Amino acid sequence: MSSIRNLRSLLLLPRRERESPEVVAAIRGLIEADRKALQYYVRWMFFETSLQWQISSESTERMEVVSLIRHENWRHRVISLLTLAIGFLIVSTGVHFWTRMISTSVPELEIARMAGFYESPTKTHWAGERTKQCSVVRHGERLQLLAGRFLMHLDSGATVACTAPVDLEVINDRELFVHSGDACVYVSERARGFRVNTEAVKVVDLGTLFGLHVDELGQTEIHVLEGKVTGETSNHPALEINAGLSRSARMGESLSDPVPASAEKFASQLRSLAGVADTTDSIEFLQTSPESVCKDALVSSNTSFLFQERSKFELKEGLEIAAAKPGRFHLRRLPERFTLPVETVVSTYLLHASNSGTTPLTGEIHFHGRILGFALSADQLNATDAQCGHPNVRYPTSNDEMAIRGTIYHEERDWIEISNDRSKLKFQIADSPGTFDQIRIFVSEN
Amino acid sequence: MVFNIADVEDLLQEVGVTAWEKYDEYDSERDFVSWTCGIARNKVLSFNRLASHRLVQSAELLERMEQEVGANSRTLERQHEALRECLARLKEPDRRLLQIRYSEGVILKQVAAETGQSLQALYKSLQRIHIRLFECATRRLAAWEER
Repeated sequence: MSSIRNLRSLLLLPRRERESPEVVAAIRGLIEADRKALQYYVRWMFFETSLQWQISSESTERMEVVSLIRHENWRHRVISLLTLAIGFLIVSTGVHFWTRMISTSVPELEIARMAGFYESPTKTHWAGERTKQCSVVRHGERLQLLAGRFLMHLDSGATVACTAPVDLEVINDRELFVHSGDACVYVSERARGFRVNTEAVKVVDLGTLFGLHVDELGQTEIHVLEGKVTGETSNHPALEINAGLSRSARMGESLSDPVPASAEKFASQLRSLAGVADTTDSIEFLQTSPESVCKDALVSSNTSFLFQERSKFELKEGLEIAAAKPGRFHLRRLPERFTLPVETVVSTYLLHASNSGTTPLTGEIHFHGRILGFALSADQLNATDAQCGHPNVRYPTSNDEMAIRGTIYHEERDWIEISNDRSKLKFQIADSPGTFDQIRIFVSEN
Repeated sequence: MVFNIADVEDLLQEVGVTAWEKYDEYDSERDFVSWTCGIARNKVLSFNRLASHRLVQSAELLERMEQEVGANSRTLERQHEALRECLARLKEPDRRLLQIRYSEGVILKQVAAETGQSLQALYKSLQRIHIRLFECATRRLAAWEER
């Protein structure tokens, strides 16, 4: 049978190959060696001759045949395409059907990508159905805050602080559109290139902290507090705005000439960006760090001062400080000491009071994060200045000054109180002629 | 025996013409295939003498082939009829392709280019059609012989 199979495969070769000397010799060898092969060959030759005879008798013009084949070819392709199209329709209809079924059965399924989350330290009032104090924010979501304030942390590394009334849209985690209101944006290194657009201007961050004031007409003030940005209005080239400067943008006009930036306009937002949700009026939050916190540097009879020393940094060595447990602490009940472990990420704040009056200073600070501990005594403060203090602030270095720092010196008149959730610190600092009270506060990353 | 298809076609044409011319001499009592094979044999031998370099020089093989044809002349004649019926059942596109294959002066490569098919695809199609027809004819012959 194999010789017949071989013979058939040779006979089926294209004409030119079948007539080659090698193939002719192979055919001859097969039919000479095997009688069945010879019979098959005879039958095949008669078959082929007969086929040619019958086919040739059906006179058809070559071009007509070519045209018919071509037509058949097209018909075959059209049928194939139609089959594919019908298959695709069936599949896509099925997918659509199941998608609808799933979305109907799970109505709360959210499809838009998450861009970040917001938190509101105080009671807020939103336009629409939004009621939560803290919630995720998705791409394309619009936030319209009518009362209160919020802090929004975007996945890109940008943080946005807003105070009511504000109306903004989160395009994605790297872009916002502010319709109206005040917004202050801190852009971390990895979020560089973050965009904030308004009706009048497109602002691109170049590594910075900046504030925007957008009125109802979309006219925009850009205040750059750190780093720089570029601002571009329609039909005008982009201009750089450097730290400490402000420019205004009106629709269709180029950016105004630069004027000094006003950090005061964004005091609330900047405080929020620094991790402080709220303070009582008796506390002045310093937007920029003071030059010195030595004796007689910040003196007031009715105000204490608070500023951020370091933001979200990793401890290079463990620190022995006072633990922040809920409750009130005073001279007879001092907080326990504990060691804040190395590599803990913390932000540090310094509360400074140099009470020149006779009435104790009181106040309350509400942080976004949790209070981990305090440096309350002179030795704790002195020991943590180098690692946790602000690099541009002058701290006490003389023995005299170093000895009189700290707080809780009076049995009943000095005290601190920690809230149960450890986010709030209440305090009372008595008058201390010739001394100054300081508390370094360690707050965890939110 | 002739192995060159062009030669076969030339000879076939000559056999056909001779058979047509001598049809009056054909005795209807005799087997038609054997009669035409006789004509063909003479034509092959004549061709052999004229162009010996193009033909297989094996008298023994030629004789064996003649014997096979003679012994199976009835079957070969029926195969012709079986093929006619199989061709009638052939799909139209396949029939058109066969027409191309056996049309005079047609170059398959050119046809492939004109129809947008690859030459290899045309050859494959032709092989498939030939096998199907041959098997169809073989099945019909077997069925007739069983009756």
